[in-house]
Amino acid sequence: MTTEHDASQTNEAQNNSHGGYELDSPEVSFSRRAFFGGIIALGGGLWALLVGATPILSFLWPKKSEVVTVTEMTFEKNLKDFPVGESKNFMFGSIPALLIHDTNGKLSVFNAKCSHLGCTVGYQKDKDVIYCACHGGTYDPNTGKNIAGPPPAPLKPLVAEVAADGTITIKIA
Amino acid sequence: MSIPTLKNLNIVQTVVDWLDERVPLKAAVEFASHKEVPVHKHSIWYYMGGIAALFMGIQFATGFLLMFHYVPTFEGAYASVQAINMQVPFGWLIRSMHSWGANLFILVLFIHMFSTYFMKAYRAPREFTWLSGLGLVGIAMVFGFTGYMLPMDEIAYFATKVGVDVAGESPIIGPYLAEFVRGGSEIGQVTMNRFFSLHVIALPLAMMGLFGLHATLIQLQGISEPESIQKLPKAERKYEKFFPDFIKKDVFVWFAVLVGFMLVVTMKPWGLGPQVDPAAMAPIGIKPEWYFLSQFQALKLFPAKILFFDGVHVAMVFIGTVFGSLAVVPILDSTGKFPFISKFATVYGVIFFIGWLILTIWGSL
Repeated sequence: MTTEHDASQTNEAQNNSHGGYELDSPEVSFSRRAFFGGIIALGGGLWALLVGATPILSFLWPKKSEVVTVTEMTFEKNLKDFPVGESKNFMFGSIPALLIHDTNGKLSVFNAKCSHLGCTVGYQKDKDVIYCACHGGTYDPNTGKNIAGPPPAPLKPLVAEVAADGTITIKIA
Repeated sequence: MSIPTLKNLNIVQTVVDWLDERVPLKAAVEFASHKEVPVHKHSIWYYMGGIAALFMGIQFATGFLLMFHYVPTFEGAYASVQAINMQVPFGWLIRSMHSWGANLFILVLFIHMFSTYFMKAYRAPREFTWLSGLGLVGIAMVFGFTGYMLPMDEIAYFATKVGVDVAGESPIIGPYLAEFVRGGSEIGQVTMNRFFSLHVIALPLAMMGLFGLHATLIQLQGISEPESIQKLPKAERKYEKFFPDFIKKDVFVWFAVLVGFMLVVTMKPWGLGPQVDPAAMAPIGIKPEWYFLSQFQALKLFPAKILFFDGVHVAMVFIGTVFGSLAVVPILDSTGKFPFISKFATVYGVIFFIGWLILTIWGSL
């Protein structure tokens, strides 16, 4: 039995040693072959991934968005038609904005994007707060400071200027 | 195949024989007739997978039909869905089936998932059946998310905004990921193209592939029996043939479900919210679809700061870990040889389910 077994192993070793390899035992031949096979498979895989993924990702990658950047705009209403307690959501270029004639008689204007997860906030007159309906974030209407709920930061401010005739101009801060 | 003479010509038999030589039909029927389905007091849960597959079929069929009238543009989508609901003959029916179907599909998947979890059907050798099923639930939820953007009503817009911004809060790659998903810095036509092609091409293919694996594994491994039934002496365990006995009942259940489904679909046709106005504030009381309510409520509950971390990041890690655990806990319990782990998996499942239920109901209030 033993001789037979040995003979078959030697046979295997001989079979595996074709292609000019000098091999000590079948195990080594197998692992060396597997090693180079693995290297080729890995390298080939990486190469295919690179060659495949580069054009696909580049194809899908968004081009630089042509955002119309607005630095200044005239608000649709005159101050005379915009009494204390009044508020208005509007678009300042491509960003949603919120103008409030707050209880101190001051005009506050903010980028209306909630600092939590980006919903558009609005003014709640009865509670005198800026509120985000998505997850209940609350901000101070005078300062835009986050005062309750999940928002981690204040609202980004914009600037409102009033001319002598009551025209309201919104500017970036 | 013997050549039939006029005398022994049996057309049906001839056709069947001819086909069988080319497509191994008899082997398939033979295989199915050997397969047995356990009969016991928990057998009712075995129908859930079949019902889920029925709803998947309804979604594919109605989705295909909707594409003949739906216009995937940022400006035109709302009007086209309105037309489907109000002008296209039976448009309301097809859309109602698709929207109701989506919700019921996910509901049935949840029931199927929880029932297989508690029957411990995920144990060896069925780990991949469990994981592929979990993958199917995930795909179904992405289907839901991409699908409810498409009508471009208020909820579509804000749900997409929040969903993408959640992705944007991921560490390091977050901002790039959000930009990539949106296709720009704001939600617009590019976002719609992405969601639409995902919804109608990529997700259906992924779902069919994974469902193929899931169903094949079930056919090959047979139907799992709960532990309580496995313990019974052989004489007390009852089985029925998968084909034709179980299939007959399955078809009956499908018809019953279809009747109930059509009742709901026609009595409560799915509506359409107001058209989105990107300048307006998010409407008070806005909520995602019910299957996202637990995550939504968790996002509401985490405060702005927890120690040094932003609450939203902690919330994301929490939500990710909790849902990810559904892939891990069953694998820990896959051998079923450790009573402690087995017990833990059961208790964990109960806590998960109750927690999920509480957050979902709380989120809906």
